[in-house]
Amino acid sequence: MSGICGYVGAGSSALLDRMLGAIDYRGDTSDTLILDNAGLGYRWWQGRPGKSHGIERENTFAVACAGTFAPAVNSPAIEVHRRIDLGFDGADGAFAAAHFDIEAEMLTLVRDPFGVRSLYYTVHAGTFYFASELKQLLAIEILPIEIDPVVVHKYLTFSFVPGEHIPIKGIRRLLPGHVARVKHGVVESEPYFAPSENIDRLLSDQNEAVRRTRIGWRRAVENRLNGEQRVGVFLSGGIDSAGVAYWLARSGVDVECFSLDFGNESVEREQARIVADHLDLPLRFVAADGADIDAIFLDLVWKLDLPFGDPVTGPQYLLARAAREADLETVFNGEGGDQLFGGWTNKPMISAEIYAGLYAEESREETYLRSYHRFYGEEDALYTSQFKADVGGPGQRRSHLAPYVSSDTATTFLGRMRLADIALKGSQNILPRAERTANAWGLDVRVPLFDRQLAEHAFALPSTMKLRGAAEKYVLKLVLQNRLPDDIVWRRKFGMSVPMTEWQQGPLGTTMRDLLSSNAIRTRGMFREAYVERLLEGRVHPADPRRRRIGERLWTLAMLEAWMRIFIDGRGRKPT
Amino acid sequence: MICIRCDYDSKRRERFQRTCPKCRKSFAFDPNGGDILTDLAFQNAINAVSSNGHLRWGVEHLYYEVCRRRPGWRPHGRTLIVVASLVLVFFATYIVSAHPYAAYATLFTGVVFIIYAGRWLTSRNQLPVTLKKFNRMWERWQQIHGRPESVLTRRSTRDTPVTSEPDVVEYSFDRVVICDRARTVDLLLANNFHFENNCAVLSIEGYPPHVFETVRTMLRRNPRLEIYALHDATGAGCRLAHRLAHDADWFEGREVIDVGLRPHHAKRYRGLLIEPKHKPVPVGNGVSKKEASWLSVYSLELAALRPEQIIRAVFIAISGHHHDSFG
Repeated sequence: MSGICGYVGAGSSALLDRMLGAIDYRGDTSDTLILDNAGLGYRWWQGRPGKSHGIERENTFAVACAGTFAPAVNSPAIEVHRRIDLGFDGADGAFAAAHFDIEAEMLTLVRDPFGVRSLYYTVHAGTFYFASELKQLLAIEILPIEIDPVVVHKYLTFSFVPGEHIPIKGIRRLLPGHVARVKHGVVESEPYFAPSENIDRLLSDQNEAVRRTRIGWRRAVENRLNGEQRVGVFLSGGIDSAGVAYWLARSGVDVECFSLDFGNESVEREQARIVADHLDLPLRFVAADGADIDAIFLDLVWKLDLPFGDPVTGPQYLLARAAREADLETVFNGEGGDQLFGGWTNKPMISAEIYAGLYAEESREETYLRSYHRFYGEEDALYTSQFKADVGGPGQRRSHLAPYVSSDTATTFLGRMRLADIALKGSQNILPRAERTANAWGLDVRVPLFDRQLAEHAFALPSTMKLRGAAEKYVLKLVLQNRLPDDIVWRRKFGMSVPMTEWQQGPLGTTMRDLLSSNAIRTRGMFREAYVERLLEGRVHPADPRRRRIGERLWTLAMLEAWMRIFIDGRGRKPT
Repeated sequence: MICIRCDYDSKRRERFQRTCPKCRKSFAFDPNGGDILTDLAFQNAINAVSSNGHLRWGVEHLYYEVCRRRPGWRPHGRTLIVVASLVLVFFATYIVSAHPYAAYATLFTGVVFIIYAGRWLTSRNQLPVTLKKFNRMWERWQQIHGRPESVLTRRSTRDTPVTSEPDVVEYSFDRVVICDRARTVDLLLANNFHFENNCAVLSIEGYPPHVFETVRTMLRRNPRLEIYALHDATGAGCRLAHRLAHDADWFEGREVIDVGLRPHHAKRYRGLLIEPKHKPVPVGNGVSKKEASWLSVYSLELAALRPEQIIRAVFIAISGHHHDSFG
């Protein structure tokens, strides 16, 4: 729960103040440092354990670091400086940092291994700017803002923004697990961490696999406790968050659970209650319905910083608000289990692989893109001819997948799919949205399953320890067996189902119809009105009759339009 | 008649040799030349089976769609003809015959004839467009307009490896749909039903052959597998779920959910019933006495339903909704 910013080139204290002012919800204290040809800014909450206490400065360097390391260190900024020469091998946690070598006039930017924290940068008129959030860069008044249709096109397929580019031309972000060195405006970026599959045959022994997973999971949770006496945990009712709650309860801190309540539409409310009761932890249900989401929608879009087309972001924002109202500063979640240990999301790809090539020549990359269930394959129906022309040629989305789905760094199909899931769904969707919805309410979010050592262990496990028959996350289930009720451990997972379609046809309808009105669609000139109108009327796709797909698609479009109003039309200023 | 290429609505006198007077492109059909449908009506039939291009479909679906769209054809048309003939015969006899006894005798003969003719007509179970005629239309359509992109085309599986990824076959599926026809398997797979629902799809007779045994082995790895049967309303089809639940090579002792079609689903498709290939259908093995009686006279193919209806019905079944999916 903090943020940084800065520049190399022409800048001023006033500029840094504006950039820090754009993220006033990320802290009550700020620090700035102006050097001859550079400036750094840092905002944070006083008194939070594990955080830097300001910008670290010496004669030869200055460091601003947002976030924390895992395990905790006294000063993350000093830790970054220590690693500048040593390298970031082994570094873990949730951090984004800028290190400026005064003598060499070289700026080094670094992000945590999985991308909990973000870093954006741009070069304009010879000056290099960077910041934790996009809205900080947009606070630079001289920076031109122009939408990038190619990135919007990718967002409409993935439901989030993948890769280095964002939907504003000229602004990029540092990828997770990367270090970038900037000198004279030239950026050279390289990874310091990239998961790869390295199967350990010893782990074919089930007892050994369970033992090491148990130790790794517990360690990952405990490494993210920075001395807090009281933490929250978001319980979904699934085994991942239940396992995190279990290890937290065993660690001796006071734990309070929070779970969503969708009323009659709830799918896993009862399971969350069973877990909390079993662990003897207090549980607070957080009511979430369409009216609640409607009330917070614009603030949510603003705080998210980038468009996120998964409707779960609204309920997550409400969860974070409830945790903050309970005077918590730190929350844990169970995100990452599916990506690391072979969750249910792998199953469609396995089905497709078995029957591949029977009717059409569809590549594995194309099938993977289809699995996001947004607008892949619908482009002709959705896009106007002008937008389609602006998007350009084919292959732009597949290029994000090529390093993973046919990767040599994995020896199994499941391994390849998980590499893709971690790099895209995990690092560029799940983690940043979790961090931003928590940040929206001044919370530090800890995601212990996205732990570097635990991830390396997951990639050393044979595939059948992850997906055994049709039982997903098999080894995690074995770890929790006899620790949690069997009904929780061995229940088939369905995924969180946000009743967005029902909400959009109810309390959210007015907002959706405003954002996606014919006039709004026509003004943007990107989409065909008839297609959007069909969605608003609630018509399902004939090959996928799930009604929730309507809500997911409408949310994706409405989120984009709201994001464009705030970040393109309004230059990232807080909506009123 | 409207040209589907340029939308020009031409008069009969304007057309020469089945050619649009505006764009000079050929029509596939011309009702004035004896065809039963116009190009536009045939295109609408394709749009209907493909759900406006969103679904892949088989030629058999188009055949039934054309049967549904034949001008003047109604499911109860034959009954109306019988009743109208009865009334006509009565009045004709009464007027023409001077002697009332002759009139009654003629009327009696006419009624007996009409009853038999009516029975013959209503029990003949012949579709309104013959397959031969439809095939000619389909050939003609493809010659003029090309093969529709959404039509289901099965690629050869002879040299297709199951997968190049060895670990894939070590997993399993959450559920399986077993069909009585390979073409039904095609319909579900080509529309990504397996992908959307983590669902294996096989035919009882071993289709698709290159993955059949592999998938069956995978299915055995899931003790909580959900099993569904999808079939025509035929004797063999209606016995499918029973067979699956009692055959040691399949799922002996497990619950198998019968999605349909069964005779009680046929009410909405009366005009699309056909003669059963095998009759009489014996009672037992999952077929009730009432069903056996119906199945000995009629059969209803799944292809008589639009692909969208079939996919939705199976989806409803696997979603755990216990009401009748095809009802």
